Amino acid sequence: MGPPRHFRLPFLILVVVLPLLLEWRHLAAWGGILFLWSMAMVGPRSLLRWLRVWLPLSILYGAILLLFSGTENWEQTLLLVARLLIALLGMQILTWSVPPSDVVQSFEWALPRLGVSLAIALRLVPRLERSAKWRIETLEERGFVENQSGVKALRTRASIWPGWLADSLDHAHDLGDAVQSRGILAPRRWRHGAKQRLVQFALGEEIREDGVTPHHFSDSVQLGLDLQINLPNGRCIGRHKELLRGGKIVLLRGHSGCGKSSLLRVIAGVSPWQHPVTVNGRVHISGHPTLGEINLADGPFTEAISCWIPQDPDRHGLAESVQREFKIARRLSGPWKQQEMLECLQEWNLLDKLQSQPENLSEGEQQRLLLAAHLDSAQPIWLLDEADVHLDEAGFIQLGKAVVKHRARGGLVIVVAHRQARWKRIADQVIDIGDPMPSQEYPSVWVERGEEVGIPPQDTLFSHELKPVCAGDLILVQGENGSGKTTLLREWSSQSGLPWLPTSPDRRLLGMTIEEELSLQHPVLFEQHLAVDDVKIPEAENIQLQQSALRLDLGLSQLSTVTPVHDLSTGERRRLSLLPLLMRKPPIMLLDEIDHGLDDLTLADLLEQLNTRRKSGCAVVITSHSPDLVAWAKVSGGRVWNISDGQLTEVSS
Amino acid sequence: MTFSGIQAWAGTPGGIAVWLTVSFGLIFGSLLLSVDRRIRLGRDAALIALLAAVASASRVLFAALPNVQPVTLLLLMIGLHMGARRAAAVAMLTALISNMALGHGPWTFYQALAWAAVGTSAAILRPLLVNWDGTKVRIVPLAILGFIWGFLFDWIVSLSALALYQSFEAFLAFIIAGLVFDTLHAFGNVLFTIWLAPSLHHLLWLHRRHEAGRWLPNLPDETLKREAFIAEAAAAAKHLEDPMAGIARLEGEN
Repeated sequence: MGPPRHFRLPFLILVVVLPLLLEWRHLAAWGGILFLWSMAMVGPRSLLRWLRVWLPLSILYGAILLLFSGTENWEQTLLLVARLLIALLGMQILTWSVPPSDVVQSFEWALPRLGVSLAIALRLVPRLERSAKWRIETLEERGFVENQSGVKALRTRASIWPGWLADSLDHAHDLGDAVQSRGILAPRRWRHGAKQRLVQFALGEEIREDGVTPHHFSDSVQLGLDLQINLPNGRCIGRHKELLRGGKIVLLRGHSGCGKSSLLRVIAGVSPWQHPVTVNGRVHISGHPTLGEINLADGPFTEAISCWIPQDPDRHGLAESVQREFKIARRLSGPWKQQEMLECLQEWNLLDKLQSQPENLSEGEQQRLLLAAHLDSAQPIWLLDEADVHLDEAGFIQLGKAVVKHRARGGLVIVVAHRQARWKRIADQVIDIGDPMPSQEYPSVWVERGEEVGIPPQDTLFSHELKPVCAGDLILVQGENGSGKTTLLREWSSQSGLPWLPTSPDRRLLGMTIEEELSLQHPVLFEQHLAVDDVKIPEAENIQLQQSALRLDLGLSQLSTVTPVHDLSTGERRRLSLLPLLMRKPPIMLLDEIDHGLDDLTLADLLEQLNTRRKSGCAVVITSHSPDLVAWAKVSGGRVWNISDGQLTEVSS
Repeated sequence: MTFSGIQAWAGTPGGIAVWLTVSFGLIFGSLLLSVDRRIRLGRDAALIALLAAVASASRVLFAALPNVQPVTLLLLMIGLHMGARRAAAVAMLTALISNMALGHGPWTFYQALAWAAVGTSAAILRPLLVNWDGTKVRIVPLAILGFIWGFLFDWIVSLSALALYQSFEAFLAFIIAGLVFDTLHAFGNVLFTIWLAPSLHHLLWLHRRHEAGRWLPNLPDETLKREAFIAEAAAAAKHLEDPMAGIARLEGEN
């Protein structure tokens, strides 16, 4: 209901200049029009909120003016204040009427790279708010805010600030890498000349950028690796000497933290120093449609040199809407046409999410959105970093189809996956990084069921007639992407006061370094951390011992305590976030996609830990898409629940 | 209009407002153009975005407290670590984003300008604000600078009143009306410096450390030696498998 796009600037001049020229009668009429306009536009509540800020300030300003100019000039002063208020209201109408995406577009026109920054910032603001909320939630879950005085609670909350900022910085790095790898900073290539563009603009036609037509790649698609990745302490996390040719699917295997993701980052041409590492050697790509031969040591490149789908979709999605995610994708083969986009959304079963905001989608849906928008058929090399973890069976089949099609075109697909069984069937080559992984069986144990400990909530989302959960129970929840598995755990946790572990470990990590994180995992440990050196809290020693034992069990004891939390691999962060949950010994543990980011060996250790908890009377509820974990749950005498069409049902074995 | 006419007009409040705005705008615009050209890495763009998002979110979060917000301190730290140009970019984005929630007006431009000046001052005074190797921030000089900017910032923003109403009296009234708020801003800056400056400094230092990662064209010597050793050993092993391999057969032998 605001002024139309092309009349915004004249409107701004009008609302600033007109009040200066008008006398009382006309000014009141103009003010009335603006008042009614804004009321119809944003409603009385927003208008009142605006008045609450600006009316007192204007009155104060008027009072000071009166003090200076003398009370005999009150009429003039009142006129001045009225003009000020009406001009402000006019400008506010303009602010209300311009959507942020229009601001970004105008910005991109004048300052293209800062326009990208603005778009990212607009995406980050709500994320920062949510991140702060998760941290407060985590503090409450760990029992920090109970029995704390106002000052103490404030001090505790203030202590999460560095961790919050470090997480935000890490997220910004992820977004920056996404920008880099997708070539969003590269200048746009226009298909037509300036004259043609002017004509198209005048006729209201769509102005298309240049693109590379996807074709059958020649035999020249090759990736030559002769490099070594070293940590700052000199430890090598990967020595690679390979020549990979197009028309192949290559599966990279290795234990958590062995440098698989770092290698993909290097090939994707994004900053190889996600963690402060040094890359020695050469990487050579040939067969790129526009750049031809590429020596990666000559980077960084503004253009996309490969198609990289990183882990954690919620940290790499750039756009504030599904449509815009498609709009900024595929720089190489040119922007999506409306029809193409709709067809692609339908293929990936996302058509009904067209109007959604990406942050409101489930992790699986976000992953599918990233894959749908960014798998660029014109790019010869695709790098998939655990791209299948959040996907359900239908999603994985769609990904498999896309990958096999790309291989048939002559493209090279490099896949990093911990659950490899499904990939092995289509992979042409398997490369082990570090020592080859022995085939690992998940430890199963039969536990006698104890007394009843809880039941999932019956809310508007799911109706169910399930038997109650008993001590020692193992329950695996499955369902399609977006069916509500995470929602079930979250609701259950908030209604019954049970701790739960989300898929993304960053939602449960509070400290900036491992030392800070360990002290923030228990209120007593935090108290000990703040106490002067001589003061020993007796209870703290026991808890510290228990924490150390668990760190050893989870393979975290070798990590230096001064290491920043975000320098750890995803698997290490995941295990670190699980520590406080294991220390707390709740009656039911709610774990979302427990296998995410963990290699088979670490997952087997973790499952062993869960078996131990079950034996001591704790019930375990996990969600997963992995067929291996479903089989493990069945062998261990577990129950399988399925969510479908808003119904939560027990699957009979 | 004659030259003397223009000269006379330039001395009036309206004239002063116009030439101040134009000249500040030109300096600010050239800073922004320069930073826009310099952004080559996605991480650069994202870091500017993050800092602008943090500053905007904290400004909106503290909106209930009149003029107490950590944006000035953030800009001081950004200027200190990333230089004047990037501080100008963050300043502009912060003013733009936070005013989407708090209300835009002529002050948006002056806020961006003032915050850019805050960042520039920190970049210039860097030797006074950090220790010899840049690993620690000096809280007292930073707090003093924050205190001074509490007043200066608001006075620069008040220039929007001069531009809008073109009267010296109105401008003076605006300054005096805001003195209480300026004082709150100044003390707020000191408090935020004590609370947030060390962790912010550590974090931005951490970012610079990450950016210090390198790509070296040659493999380390010990790796090459090891590979050569393995290759020799493999060749020797192959030779051992067939001890007769090196002996040439004489002609006529079967």
